Amino acid sequence: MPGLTGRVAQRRRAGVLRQGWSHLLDDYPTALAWACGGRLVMTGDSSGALTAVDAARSDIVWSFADAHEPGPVHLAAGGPSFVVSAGADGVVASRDAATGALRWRHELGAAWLDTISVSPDGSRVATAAGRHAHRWSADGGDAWTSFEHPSTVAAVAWTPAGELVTASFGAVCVFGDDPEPKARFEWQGSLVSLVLSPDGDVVACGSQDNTVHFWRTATGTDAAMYGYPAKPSALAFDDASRLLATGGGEAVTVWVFGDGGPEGSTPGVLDAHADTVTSLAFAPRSTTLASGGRDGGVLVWRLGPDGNGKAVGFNVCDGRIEAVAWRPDGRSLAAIDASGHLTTWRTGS
Amino acid sequence: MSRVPVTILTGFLGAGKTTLLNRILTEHHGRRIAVIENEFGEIGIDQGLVVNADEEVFEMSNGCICCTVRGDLIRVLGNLGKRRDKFDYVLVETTGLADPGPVAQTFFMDDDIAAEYALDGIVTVVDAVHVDQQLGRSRETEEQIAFADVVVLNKTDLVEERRLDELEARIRSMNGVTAMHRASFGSVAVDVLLDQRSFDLTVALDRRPTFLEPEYPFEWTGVYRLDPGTHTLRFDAGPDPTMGLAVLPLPEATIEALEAGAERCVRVFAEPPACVRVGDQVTPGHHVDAALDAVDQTAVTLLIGEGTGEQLYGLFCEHLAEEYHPTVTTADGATIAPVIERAWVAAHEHDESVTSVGIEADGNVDGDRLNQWLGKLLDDKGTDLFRMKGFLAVAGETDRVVFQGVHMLLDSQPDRPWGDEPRRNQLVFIGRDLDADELRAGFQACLV
Repeated sequence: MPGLTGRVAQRRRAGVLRQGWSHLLDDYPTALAWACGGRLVMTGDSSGALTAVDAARSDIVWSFADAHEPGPVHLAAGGPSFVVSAGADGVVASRDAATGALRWRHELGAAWLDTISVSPDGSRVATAAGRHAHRWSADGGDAWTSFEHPSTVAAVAWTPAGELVTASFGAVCVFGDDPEPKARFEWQGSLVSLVLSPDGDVVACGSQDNTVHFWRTATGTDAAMYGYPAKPSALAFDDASRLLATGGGEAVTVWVFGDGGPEGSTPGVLDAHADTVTSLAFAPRSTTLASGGRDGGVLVWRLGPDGNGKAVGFNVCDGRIEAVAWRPDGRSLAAIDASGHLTTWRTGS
Repeated sequence: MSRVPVTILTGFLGAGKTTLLNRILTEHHGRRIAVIENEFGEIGIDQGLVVNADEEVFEMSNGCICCTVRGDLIRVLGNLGKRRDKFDYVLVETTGLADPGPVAQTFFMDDDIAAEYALDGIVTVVDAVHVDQQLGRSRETEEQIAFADVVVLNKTDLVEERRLDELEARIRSMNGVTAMHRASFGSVAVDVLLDQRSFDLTVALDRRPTFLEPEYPFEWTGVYRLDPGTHTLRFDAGPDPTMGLAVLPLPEATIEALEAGAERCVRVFAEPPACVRVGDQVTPGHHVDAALDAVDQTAVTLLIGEGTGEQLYGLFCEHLAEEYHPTVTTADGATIAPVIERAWVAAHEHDESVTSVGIEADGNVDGDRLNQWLGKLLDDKGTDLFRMKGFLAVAGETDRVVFQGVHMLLDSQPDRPWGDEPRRNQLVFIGRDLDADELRAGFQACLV
């Protein structure tokens, strides 16, 4: 990755990422989440294992090698107390975050599960198996299944009110309690990523045709952002619902919502990765953004109101970055990469 | 990091894809192969990591079919990529009705997939027994053949040799650059299927395209030993009103001499034929059209000129011997059997909508004009152009330029210096309803 190291080397003095610890996992890491209010970092990997690491002392608190059958595992934390995981075995399971004790487990059949999400208030869990979305209350009860989508559900997310949102080929669907969607936002393209603004006003998707498409949920009015060199699979909104950071190439493109935008506006462009951006995350309650790339680079950016900004921290891992995630207090950043490492940094200027 | 090679296995339901797949998995002990299956085959797959995927074609918002990819493959391959240490080859088995375009395009259009996987080739299994019917009825079968890098002509044990020659020629007329292997029960060596690097520009063109093989205006030749004098040549009545024919001396009774004679005979056939009727004379070296208007048999007199004893002659006939049963008898009434015979499958036999158009030209092309022409061609015909391959001598470039494409996705790169080799261009287009004359004229206009 000479391109990245070369480019960021000039910013060495500005680095705000201070190396914490690094763990080599047994297999390719596929999922990353903070839990217990930032006391634990959790990963899932391709062997089907789940591992929880103490963020301060870096020792493994619990680990289950066979939490799922072999295959990529996905993870989400629910509030301070539990995590949910989904795997290639079609199993959704919830564990106590502190101890790893199994709380509940559901089998959904043969489909590989590629997405899992906990509602903002921690009261609901959702995943997608093939063309159906599934939802439970946090205790695993109250099972609900959506209608059969016209194609595989690529991603699930939540409105602030706790309504389930799905993205698939051709449409974003919003669900109440009925299996049929209460609202549909259509776009003739394959939607591969999904994010809602924290205030619930905007739903945005990356599409296979190298566009970002978004809708205003109140009116259904939509717009498409063209010009990406690759499909935007990484998306992130800041907590103020003002900045939407998007991957889809080597640059991070930041759209500013408000002041009539982003329609017709010029986005901020953050250019330092030497290969496709794979993961984006805003630090809580701030406009500090972390980006990870296929080049193994992890960068931290301070963004201005126009969506432009400068890199204030950088690091290069041994493999393609699979995910970056901020600790809930914003004072640590974690990343997993294809070499099998879980790495953490402390952040601060 | 080396990319994992992927072979796409297509073919109509029942052609024997699963049998072939099992054979690959059984024979290729050294490889750890992952199989992505789109349908339940005739028989189960017994080894390897097998993943079932629901065929999901992702059309793009711009409606361009050339941008269409397979969403199921993106998902499954993306997930498999995270288990890279556990396999080193991927086979994608498509349904019999699958359009190979989106499958192939997935490996070029999707960034994540292109970074981790390299499309090695498209193998199409063809059922020798039923393909003739399928070609008439099914666009899918035509397109699967058009896209193929390798065609496996399967179930050959159930079809006679001559029929297989005809089928091969029919398939070649549709796809002039494919490799072709005959098999029964999927018995074909694995190393002609996998690791072909068909999409690798550096090796793809080392295999000489066969599309330049001549298309003969005759379908059958028999080689006879004939003494000087008068012979009788008889044909049965058949569906055609006339039989174009020519008799040419040959140096020896070998297939090679016969094939060399066929080249000469093409020129003879290019001359306007003289019409002959029952009882008329035919002499060697001339193109004639015999009117087959007798009720049962038409007989013409074959006059072999003064010579020194017995000589070999090739009787080149417009139509197949099995339809018209040509017989040669001496003045005494003795029947002379051919020493050797060969059927040529004339390209005009089937009116294919999918064809290969080959273009060969000496000299240089103007790069800008070529780009403009290709750009317009892809705009207008991209949907109907399935594959293209070739090399070019671009004016001002010291290196040969090789290129290949799937639909509108075109990839080109410099290959090797021309050096002392004469600069020339060779292109082949495989597509539906191609206008060969227009393509040739378009390319000619790019020459400097």
